[in-house]
Amino acid sequence: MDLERWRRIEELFHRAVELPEGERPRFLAELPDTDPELRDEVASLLRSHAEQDDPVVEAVERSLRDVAEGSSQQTFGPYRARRRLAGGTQADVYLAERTDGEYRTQVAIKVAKRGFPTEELRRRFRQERQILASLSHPNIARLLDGGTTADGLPFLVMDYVDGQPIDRYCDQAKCSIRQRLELFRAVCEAVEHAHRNLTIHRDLKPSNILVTEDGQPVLLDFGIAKLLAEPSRAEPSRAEPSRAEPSRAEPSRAEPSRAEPSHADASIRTMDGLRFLTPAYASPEQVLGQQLTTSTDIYSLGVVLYRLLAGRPPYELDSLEPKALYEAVCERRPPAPSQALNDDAATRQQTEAIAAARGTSFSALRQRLKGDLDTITLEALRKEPERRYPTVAALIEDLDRTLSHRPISARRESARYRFTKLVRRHPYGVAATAALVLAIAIGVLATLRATWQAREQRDRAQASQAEAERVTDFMAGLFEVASPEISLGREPTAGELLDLGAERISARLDEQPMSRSRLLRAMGKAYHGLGRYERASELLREAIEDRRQAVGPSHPEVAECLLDLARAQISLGDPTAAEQSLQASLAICDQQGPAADPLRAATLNLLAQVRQRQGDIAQAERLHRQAVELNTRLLGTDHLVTLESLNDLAEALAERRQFARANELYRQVLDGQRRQLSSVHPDVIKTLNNLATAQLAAGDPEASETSMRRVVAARRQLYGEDHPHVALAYSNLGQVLSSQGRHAEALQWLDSALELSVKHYGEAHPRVADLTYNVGFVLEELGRLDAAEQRMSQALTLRRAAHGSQHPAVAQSLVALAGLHHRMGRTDEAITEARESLRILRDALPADDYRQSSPQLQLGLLLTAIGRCDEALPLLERAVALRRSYLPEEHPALAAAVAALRACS
Amino acid sequence: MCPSHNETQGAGADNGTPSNAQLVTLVYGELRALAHRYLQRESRNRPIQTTALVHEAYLRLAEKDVNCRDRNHFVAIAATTMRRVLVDLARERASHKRGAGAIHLPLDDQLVGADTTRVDVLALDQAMQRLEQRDPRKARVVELRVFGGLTVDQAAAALEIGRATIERDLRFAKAWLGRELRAAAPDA
Repeated sequence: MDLERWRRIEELFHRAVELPEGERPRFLAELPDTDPELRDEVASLLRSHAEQDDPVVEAVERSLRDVAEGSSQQTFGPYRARRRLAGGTQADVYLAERTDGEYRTQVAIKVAKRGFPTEELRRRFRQERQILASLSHPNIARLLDGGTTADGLPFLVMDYVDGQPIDRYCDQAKCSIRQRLELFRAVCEAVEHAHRNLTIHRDLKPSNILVTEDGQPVLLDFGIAKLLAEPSRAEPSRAEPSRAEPSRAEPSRAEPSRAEPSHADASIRTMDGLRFLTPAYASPEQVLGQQLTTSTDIYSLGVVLYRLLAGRPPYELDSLEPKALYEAVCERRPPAPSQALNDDAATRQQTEAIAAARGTSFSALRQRLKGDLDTITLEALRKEPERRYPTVAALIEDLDRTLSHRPISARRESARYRFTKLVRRHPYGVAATAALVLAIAIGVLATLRATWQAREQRDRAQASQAEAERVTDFMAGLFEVASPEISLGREPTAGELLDLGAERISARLDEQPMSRSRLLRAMGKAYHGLGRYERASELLREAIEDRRQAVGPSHPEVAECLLDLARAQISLGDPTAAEQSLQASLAICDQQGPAADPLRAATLNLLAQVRQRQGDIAQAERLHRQAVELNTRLLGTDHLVTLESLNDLAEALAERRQFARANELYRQVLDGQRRQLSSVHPDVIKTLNNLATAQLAAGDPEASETSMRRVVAARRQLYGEDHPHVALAYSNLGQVLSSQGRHAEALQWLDSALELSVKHYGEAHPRVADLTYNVGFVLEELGRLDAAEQRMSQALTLRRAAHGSQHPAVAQSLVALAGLHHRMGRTDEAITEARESLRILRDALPADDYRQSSPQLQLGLLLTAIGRCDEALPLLERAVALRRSYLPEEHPALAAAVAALRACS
Repeated sequence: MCPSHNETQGAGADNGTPSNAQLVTLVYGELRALAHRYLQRESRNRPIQTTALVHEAYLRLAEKDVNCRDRNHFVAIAATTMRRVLVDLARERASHKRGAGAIHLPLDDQLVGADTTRVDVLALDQAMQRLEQRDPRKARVVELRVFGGLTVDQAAAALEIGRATIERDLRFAKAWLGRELRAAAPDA
């Protein structure tokens, strides 16, 4: 349209608009007929002008509204947000429901405000999801789902809980202290459940603990903090994007965590800008960015308890500056809850309101909090994780005790406390020593406390209490004396401390033979732990003597000590002496009758071990069975002690190469343990590892792989990525994979294992030698013969250095090199190596030891290859016979020997 | 001092005054963030005015020491930018609704929402583009008034034309745009 025409239209429009509306049609009609289009144009503009609405403004307003709704009308996969519940600096929370109509379940959706690389999120999610999904507990909101929005923001879908934060709920319902404790106890139960499944919350606070209308507390966001934590700086997957095996690149569980705030609580970034935490509830280790354990949750529970009881936080945060935060959380000792309140004129009104919300008065509240509740709260709030309640269960136990007016376990400024404080004054270098000495003292105390708990024996309990303090004082004195005398610029070793203690013990505690005996026993066990079995036996014998005098020769406490002695004797390699101790113990059990049955079971178990060492495997199995039967009768099939003895029986069966039966028992043990322990409990992992080994030995590598992968996952979860136990699991998995012919995969695991082991043990450690050997083995399987040879030679050198040149491990390396050189066409070298290997094993092992079959087979093959079948034949026959004695007929290792024999004859 | 709208765009001046292009970028970021934040906060109950957004963007940029003390000139730029922000947001919403790029990890089915995108602001933008071709000044007046929230006096000052002209332009432009939009709207 040309400008002139446009101007003309505009001019006509304005002229018409200025006319009264009624005159406009006439104005239009008077326009010249020559240009009907012009007239139509002006007419349509006039009509548009006359409309009541304003589409221009409406369009803008509507688009603004759309933006506003965009945040609440968002969809997340099959969920549509209905409204925003809360927002923080890190995430928003929406109430949402499924859009696919069928179920109108309401869910809470948490959307991170920060994007993640998709792969990273995928991996984390995969990693965490299973654990979080397994947290099925009525007081824990489930994680249902997760994904990424179109903007690349990760979101998590959780149970929607309609409730109030626990502190607000309690105040509004005017809950009494007892009601608060009971509610808090339920919270602890849920946390304990999660801990048993090795999930740490990391961000416990009232806004994450909602109480529903029917008074049920529900914990939100379990494990979410970790899931939404900032991507770590050194992501293995980003550093090595080409690594094919995704599970290798899992980020470490041990990395310092960053808690992420939820809902409306204030949250901050700490000094390095990477950790997120809720300052008011963060533990010292969170503030310091140290590794988090379940103890972190115990601390946060302490803060929650403090608030529920006293209505105030344990410390006021004046500022969120890192320094102030550090000072408040890591340094400042909070006042006892009862002391948090006062009735100064300035705060009286507030204090009275707090008391009123608890249905009581200020003075009554203070009186109620004094004592147990102060102690319990402060015990949970200790700055040092290891001084807090060791488990949530222990905290619950104390809550129960105080609720039923029994004495609690946490004690104020006790001898133990003074002692532990003394130990802790020493820097971390002394930790091993201190921990050992401490373990002795605590061990003694634990025994005493168990006695103390039997309330019908009140007098005895008081005697034990006194004894506990005597023992602790003794240990404390020991440490005090030890430091200046021995240390002189260095820390005393545990051994030196023990020696000093053993010297002083008779002089100090002569008039109390039972106290003396307890200490001697504890020290004997400590010597055992240090590998000084001879000294351990001596002290234990003394301890037994003291006991005989104090309580008579047939007392069960004498038998207990005899068992310790037998253990030391087994370790000492003296099964005959061990058997004598155990027979003495059995004699006591006979005299004591059924009351001593638990002791009898333990004795039988040890006796079975002795028999096994003596080579009487059939008898060992019988004894193990007796122990299992006894334990089953006494404790039930599922008791951990029963399961332990069942595990021992399975090990005996595996030793006899009865793998099918061993596997069955391991499964039984595993099922039993799983019912009571977390799936990553060390005992469970141990059983699983045993099972995997037996499965592999039984020729079932697929089943073994499944078990072994679970071992790997569990160990990683338990120990973090950087731990020798994890290396061991990698190596085992590598072997399982290799036995399935999946050598490339195996190599990756073995490489990781080797790397980790070198880091922890140094280059020259026997375990490093073994791993180097395994890597060489797999390289050979992959046809990388030169690389394999290099590793194998390296392993041989390491093993010779570690074990001497006549050790079976050296023979193993030699035979492996023989096979390798055979393949490389270096037959002469190979024959020398195989002969050397065979000679070492002949000298080192009994004639029927199956390990001899390897060099026999290898040498037989080499001799066959150079046409000396007559020489090869007897070797191959022997190899087949040995292998047949311990392998099932279809086992490939046996088949290989049989084939070699056939080729020759 | 903020550069006037008519100034040619160039590299930033040495005295810390941002160039037009830089300023537009700044304002764009600010408005976009504000649109989200502000609107979330205000939520559904109260209608939101572009004026409020532009005003807040101005305050925030002034706080940030962006050398831009002439409010009218700022608003003149902000109005154009506001239009762009709304158009971009509408486009993004439209593409989100089609489920593009959504990744959903553990669940099987990804529900694709029905395309109920309102095209109003996009249609308005297209109509404004047609208006700009015929009569740039009128489009500009609409921008200042509707997207920037300027009063007639402010618009007159910004464009250095008389009040009456602004009013006439606005009346005509709105009639014209209204007709275009009604024609474009489905079943209206």
